Amino acid sequence: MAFAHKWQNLGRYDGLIWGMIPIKDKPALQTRVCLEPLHFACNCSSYQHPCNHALGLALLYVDKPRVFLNNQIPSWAEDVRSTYSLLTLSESPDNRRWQRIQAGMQDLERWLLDMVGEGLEGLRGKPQTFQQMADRLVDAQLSEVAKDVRQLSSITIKHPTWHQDLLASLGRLYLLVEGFKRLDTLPVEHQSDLALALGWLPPIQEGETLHDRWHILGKRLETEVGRKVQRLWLWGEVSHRPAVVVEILHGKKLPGTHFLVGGILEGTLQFYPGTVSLRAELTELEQIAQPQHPVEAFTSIEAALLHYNKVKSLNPWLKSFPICLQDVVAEKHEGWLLRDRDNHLLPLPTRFAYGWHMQALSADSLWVFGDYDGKTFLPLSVWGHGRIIALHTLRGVT
Amino acid sequence: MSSLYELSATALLGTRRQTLEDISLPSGLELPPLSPEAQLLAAAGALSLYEQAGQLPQRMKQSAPRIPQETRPRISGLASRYLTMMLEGTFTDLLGEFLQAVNQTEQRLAEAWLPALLERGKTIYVYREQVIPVVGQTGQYLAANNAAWAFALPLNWDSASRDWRSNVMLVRQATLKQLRMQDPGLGRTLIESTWKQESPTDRTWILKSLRSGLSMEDEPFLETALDDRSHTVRKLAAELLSALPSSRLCKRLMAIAKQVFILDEGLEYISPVMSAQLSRDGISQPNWADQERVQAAQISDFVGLLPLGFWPLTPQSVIDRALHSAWASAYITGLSNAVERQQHVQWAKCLLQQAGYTTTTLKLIPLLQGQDADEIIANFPQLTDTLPMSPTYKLLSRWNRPWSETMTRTWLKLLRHHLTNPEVKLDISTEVISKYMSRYCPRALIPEVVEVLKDVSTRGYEKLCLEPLLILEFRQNMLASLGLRVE
Repeated sequence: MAFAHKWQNLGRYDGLIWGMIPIKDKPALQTRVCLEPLHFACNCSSYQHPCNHALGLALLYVDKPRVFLNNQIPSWAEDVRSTYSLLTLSESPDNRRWQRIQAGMQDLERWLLDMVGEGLEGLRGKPQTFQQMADRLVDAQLSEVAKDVRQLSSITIKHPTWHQDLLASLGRLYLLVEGFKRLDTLPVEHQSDLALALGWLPPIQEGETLHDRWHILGKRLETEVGRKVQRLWLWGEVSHRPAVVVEILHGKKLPGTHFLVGGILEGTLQFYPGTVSLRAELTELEQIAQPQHPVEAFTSIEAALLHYNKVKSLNPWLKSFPICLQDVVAEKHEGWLLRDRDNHLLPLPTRFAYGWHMQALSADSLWVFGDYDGKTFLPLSVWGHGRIIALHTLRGVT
Repeated sequence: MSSLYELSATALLGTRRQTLEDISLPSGLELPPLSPEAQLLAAAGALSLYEQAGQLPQRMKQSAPRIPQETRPRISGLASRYLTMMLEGTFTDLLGEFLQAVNQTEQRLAEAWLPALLERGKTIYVYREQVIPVVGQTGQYLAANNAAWAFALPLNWDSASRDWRSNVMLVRQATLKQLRMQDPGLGRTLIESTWKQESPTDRTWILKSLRSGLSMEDEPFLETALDDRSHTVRKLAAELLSALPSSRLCKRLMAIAKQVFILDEGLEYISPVMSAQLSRDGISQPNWADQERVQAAQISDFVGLLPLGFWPLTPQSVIDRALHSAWASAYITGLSNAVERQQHVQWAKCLLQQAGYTTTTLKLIPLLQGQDADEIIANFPQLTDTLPMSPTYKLLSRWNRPWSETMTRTWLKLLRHHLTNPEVKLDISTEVISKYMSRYCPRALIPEVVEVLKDVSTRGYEKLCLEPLLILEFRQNMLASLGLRVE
């Protein structure tokens, strides 16, 4: 693999090298290596890490750096660099990557202003408008913002309040643009919040570490910007703190974390910095026995929302926040919702596939864990039959 | 204070067409001087975050409905795991036995799996009867709140007629099938309520559903269906009426049959004079050049529609004469159709024994009961070199329902016989029969069957025995998880 003739599109830029290996009748393998800090990535199906392709690429670079001719980083090679600090980048104004991000945010600002200038009515039934902007944001390495923009296309359906919802989302994006313009004037925690909202990871070493018994309460595998992303939701038994661990998967590789929902991990989590530390990385954790009872939860929807309000006022960029609720029942009216003992209601997403399952389990009052996005609560697991049941393991009914 | 609604009215038309009114934000929030577009966006973002960070839940006045208390205990977690595996596609054929065993042990299904089971019952009728007793109060509560699962509740006219007007054929078929099982008369009334508006295709499946709960009360309706525009519908109506010996159609056909079928030494056929009435009653007169073929078709149609009670001799004698007549094949086809339509077990046994296990008669096997099969097996030499052609083989390779002890032991004996006679060639049906045995053998015989199959497996038949052994192991553990001991 360390021979130049085996590779195509070899390139290097700013401490990142990349190349592609053509395979007959199949898409070419995409290999990239971040040299500082050293990090290997490849979309091959090898279980060895680093794989022979990544090692070969690094050795080739040591041997013949001149063959790495390209200097335009392809989008597939970007994520390996996501651990770079956004703030570090901003400190070097002549850095082209930073310029690209700035250009992306300026593009977004123009797009937003144009849309409200021309009127939202013209957007109805034009999902490609959002898709095109999202693609440009991906190119500008603003993956989270791209995700937000792509989701806007689902708003312009026949919902009576679609224009209000769309304007609210566009407004929040505009505030993100404004926040970005003032990045250097913001306190460090807010800078971290903003970095995460843009799709960049702040320096983890500046975040806190926390030892606890972490209950695994949710897991989801999603495709975002053409790559698989696994989210793991954890809940500290003693600290009552939620945590979200995100793992990006390449090619056919299985998640490195293969924990099952319902288990407990004992050990320390390393959180990313921010006003509300939620995103974390697994460090030294050991899976121990199954829980005998669910973790402590809010007994009223009102108390849960007050907590959410507090969190949201600390970090307005936060897209969703995990909540545990108990003593609730699931009911179907126009859509599915949860009801507590005080008859307070919490709507669940439209076309939610596990409402009937939750209603069936509501005979005993229900304990439920999920993610609240400010409008709807997405249940991820419930306590039933003496254990945590991950809802995605049940067969959904719409 | 401005609202998002007010701002969105301007945003809809665009700030280049609609002047932006003064925006007032909640106290503490201020907008710097900006362009109208930027002002609008900043205000919308701020208001949206302000609302999100200060929201309170809505409240409902009515109190929450309660799910009634369960009377049966819930199945164990292990049993639920077996249920999940079957729902996910592992040995799904055993689901029926599982549900029966849950009912037999007076348990109910775990709540989390009720929606999946009810959803399955929506389209797979065979599970319905088994699902209903084990869904418990919670299942009934869910069914009462989901029209698609109403089959788990006793049907009433209102709900049935509502579902009957659905555009979804599956819903209509399920409704009719359940109503016919519950109250055949009400089911027929439902059919009559929309009969004239139905398409020929719909009229065909609707008529087929009358097979369940068919009685003389359906006769007037079926008699009118003999005048239907569609040939398929007319033919089907005649077939259904032929299963009712007191029907007018049967009486008309029997009156003519006396002159057509002459039973003395043998069985003679004298072609009837074709009439519009005879055609209406389902006797075809194909426009073929080959007159022998026309006559054969008429004989099989006529015999197929005649009540079996018409024949003045024993089934054995009639079949014997039919087999020795010049039109043997047409008679046997007709008799097989009549036996199948009239569900006559004794005739089915005689036809299989005398006419053999042919493609015409094999369809009669489902009419047989376990003891009939035992009897047939006992009457035939089992250990023969031409095993795949033997009746035992043919019978067992189609017995996809509970096996008797005799059937199981017979097959085990045959398998052992294979081991000692390597010249006996095994065909695909050996594998099929072994799978059926593992799925349907009596619970008490499972350990013995496992032992024999393991022995057979070690003698070079690993592939043949692998799946049956897996099925048996699954069954054994599944039943044990429900508290049914399999020793």
